Amino acid sequence: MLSIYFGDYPGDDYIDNPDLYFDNTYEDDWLEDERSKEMVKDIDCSELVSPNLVISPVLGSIPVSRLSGGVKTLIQINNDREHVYNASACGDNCALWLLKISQDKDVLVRLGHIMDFGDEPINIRIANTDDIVSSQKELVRKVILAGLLDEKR
Amino acid sequence: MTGKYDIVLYNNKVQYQLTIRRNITVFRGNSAFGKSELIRLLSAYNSNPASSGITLICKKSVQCSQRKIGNCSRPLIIIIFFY
Repeated sequence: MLSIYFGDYPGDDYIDNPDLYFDNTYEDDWLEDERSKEMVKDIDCSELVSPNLVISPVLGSIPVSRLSGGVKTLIQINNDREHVYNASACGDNCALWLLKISQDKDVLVRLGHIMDFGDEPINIRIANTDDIVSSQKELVRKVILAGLLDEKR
Repeated sequence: MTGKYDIVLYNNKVQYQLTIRRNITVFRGNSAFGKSELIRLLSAYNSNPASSGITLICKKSVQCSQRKIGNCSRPLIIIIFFY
């Protein structure tokens, strides 16, 4: 199941800048995983050839460090169980992948905004309040009414 | 700021053509839309205009940076400003 903590995450295991963190910590076998290749294909429209090579239709042959911040975040969420990642580093085009990853295992991420999970039914736990929501509309309503993204004064 | 400014920024792989109407412009978008590449090109050009291999065509000098806004914390936001 996908659990989302909205706002400032208090734990020590939080990664605020997954783009930077990925460049300095990724494991080669994360990039040999079939799901990683599918995500790079979908999000970056590129071919993940090996842990050391990506072929982009725009940039040509590039290192994995030049992958988008969103796909790096997804790869880490899929492979690293020790940290909570800032999923606001992902665009809305990463939302369905977050849901897919969480079908196989429990995932906790942090968001500083309300991501668009689309019109299909969802099953997301709001970690701040322990509410379970089943639609985007319900997610938006619960987050706003609880003031989870309000600026703390 | 009055009027608008055209910015053309390119290297051998990518080209950006922007028309900017504000002193501060915010870019938002999905992952892999080219936002970070824009920052990379502009930063590389500004650090070494003559030897970067990057071409910038604009009537004014341009800088850009990433910023978090409020609680959003999305490093997807780019601000371009003229000086």
